[in-house]
Amino acid sequence: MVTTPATPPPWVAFGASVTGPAHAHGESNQDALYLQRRSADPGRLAIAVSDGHGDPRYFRSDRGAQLAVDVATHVADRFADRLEHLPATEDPAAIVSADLLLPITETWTRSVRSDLHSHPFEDAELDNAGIDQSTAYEEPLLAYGATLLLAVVTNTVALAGRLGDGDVVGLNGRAPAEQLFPHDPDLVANTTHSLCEPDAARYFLTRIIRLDDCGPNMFLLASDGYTNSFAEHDWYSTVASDLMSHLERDGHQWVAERLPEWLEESARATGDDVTVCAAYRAGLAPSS
Amino acid sequence: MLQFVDEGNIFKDIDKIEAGKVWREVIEAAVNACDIFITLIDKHWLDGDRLSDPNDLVRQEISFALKRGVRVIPVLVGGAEMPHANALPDQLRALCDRQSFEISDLRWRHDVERLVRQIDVDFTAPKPGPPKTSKRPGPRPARRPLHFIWILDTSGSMAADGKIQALNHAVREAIPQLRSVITEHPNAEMLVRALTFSEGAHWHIETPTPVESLVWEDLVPGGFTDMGQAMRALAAVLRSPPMEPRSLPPALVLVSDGQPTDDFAGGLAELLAEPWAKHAMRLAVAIGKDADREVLRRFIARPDIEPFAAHSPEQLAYMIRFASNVASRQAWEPETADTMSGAEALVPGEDGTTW
Repeated sequence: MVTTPATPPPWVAFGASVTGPAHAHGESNQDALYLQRRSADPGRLAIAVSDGHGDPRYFRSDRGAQLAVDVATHVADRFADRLEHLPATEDPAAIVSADLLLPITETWTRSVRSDLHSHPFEDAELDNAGIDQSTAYEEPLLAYGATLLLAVVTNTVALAGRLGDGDVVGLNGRAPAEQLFPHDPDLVANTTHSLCEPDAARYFLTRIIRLDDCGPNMFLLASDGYTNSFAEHDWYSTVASDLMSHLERDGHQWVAERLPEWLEESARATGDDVTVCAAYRAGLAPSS
Repeated sequence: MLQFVDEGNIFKDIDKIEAGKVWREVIEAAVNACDIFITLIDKHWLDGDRLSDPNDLVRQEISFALKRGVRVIPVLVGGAEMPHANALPDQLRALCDRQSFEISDLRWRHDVERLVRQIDVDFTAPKPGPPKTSKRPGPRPARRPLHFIWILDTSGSMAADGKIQALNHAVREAIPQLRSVITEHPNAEMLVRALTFSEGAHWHIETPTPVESLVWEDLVPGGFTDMGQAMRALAAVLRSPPMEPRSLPPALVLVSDGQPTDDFAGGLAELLAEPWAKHAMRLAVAIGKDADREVLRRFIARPDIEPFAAHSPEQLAYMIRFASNVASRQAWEPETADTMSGAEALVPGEDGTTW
């Protein structure tokens, strides 16, 4: 008898972002996320989280973060087909760099310049940041500085990426969760790599992950506002397994409805903006 | 329908399957992902033997949606009526149990709006399930640690002219100031330590102690000025680990009345090689005219910040309070350092004892 392999369940996305109490004095949330499906193909999804630096020098980082998630998911969604068919004979790192990372950083830079062209720096925002006009225009990207977390998933393979701080966690219900990128010991005390740096693409860390039965069926992107709210070094393990239990029992919409309430608790603890976004597909429940 | 519903939320089987894709897989995945499945039925829906063919696309997708428990809405158009169950293959008979929705050619827009409204209500209506409040995933969120360290000279020269008594008094006076910083910034937990240097370096308060429970015991002077060893002892605790990645930038306040008697340069190099120390807010207070201000400048390592000078007990109390306050606020108010140049103008005058 010939059997047709079952189609993998579709990827779905959920996420939320809450403003930290430290920004209660009229500052906007400096984080951004993108979780809308760009493709009609339910087996393909690109999600992103960006954390604008927020310091007075980065006085348009909320806009920089929004541009980052828009650009990154757009480029990543186009890259998904290429990802599924990476030739074994070529260096995947070179392809990822040329076809994903450089297009993201270059498009972000162009988008920022275009935004600045449409909305030149205003005296009020420069005064507020304590920066004069000429200094601001010497390095105009600085004002828009932001980090980027990215996951693009298909039926058979996923790619996760990180530029700067925050975390990407992969989880399969049958194995311990994995923090896909280790903490960079040089990035301490709120310092981070940023899209606004020259040659930003070279600070991007990426992982390509085959999605066989043992591969992750959830990728969680979390801004540092979330990860810094846990004292435990293995926070990601309990967060991911608790989330997975909810997802399997209650469904992703149930989780999506409660996520803002959960993130508020983290924001209250650290004062920072908190953002979490996840791609998930059902069907890989833990073996009993 | 596209006027009412975002296109990205609609999967239409006749135009959303890309060339080269296996349509069966794409449709199965789309049905799996959907909340509502609409099947349009016109007068010719049952014509021919199409639905008898197990491989027919329409039959397969409806069957899959029914099996998966998706909400299936039969929408009747062009005057069609709901087919009788006997006219359908077994896999599709459950369709007849579903409430149909009629769209009339004469009231097309009105009926479509009505359908969209009904779908919208169903999307937004509260669903039965667990109560809204639920346990958050993961461990309990906690405040971020802010490590504050005093590095204090307890060499023999501090015994002269009441300097050590003044230093003990100054630190005691600074503690309520630190507590008020945390009252203003409740998202951090300030953990205080004190390191002394004389003959070697010694932890006076070794365990990072919450400022709320900090109790100051008097320092006792005697010995050399091994400031280099103090730098090395600091470097050892500002490594990762024991520093937690989630910590706020540490605050370090160095207080001295003399010159190092050991390898200060080597100790400082070891300290500043640690990223946590490099990104710490480092301030210094020079007690009296014999203090080596150049050494303190090298510890601060910022051209825009000078060591503070204290020439009397009142000035020392003020400067330690001021430096501790500014250093501990850096995580939230980095611009505070820019305002420090005028601090010495506010220092109390010399009253009695001078150093």
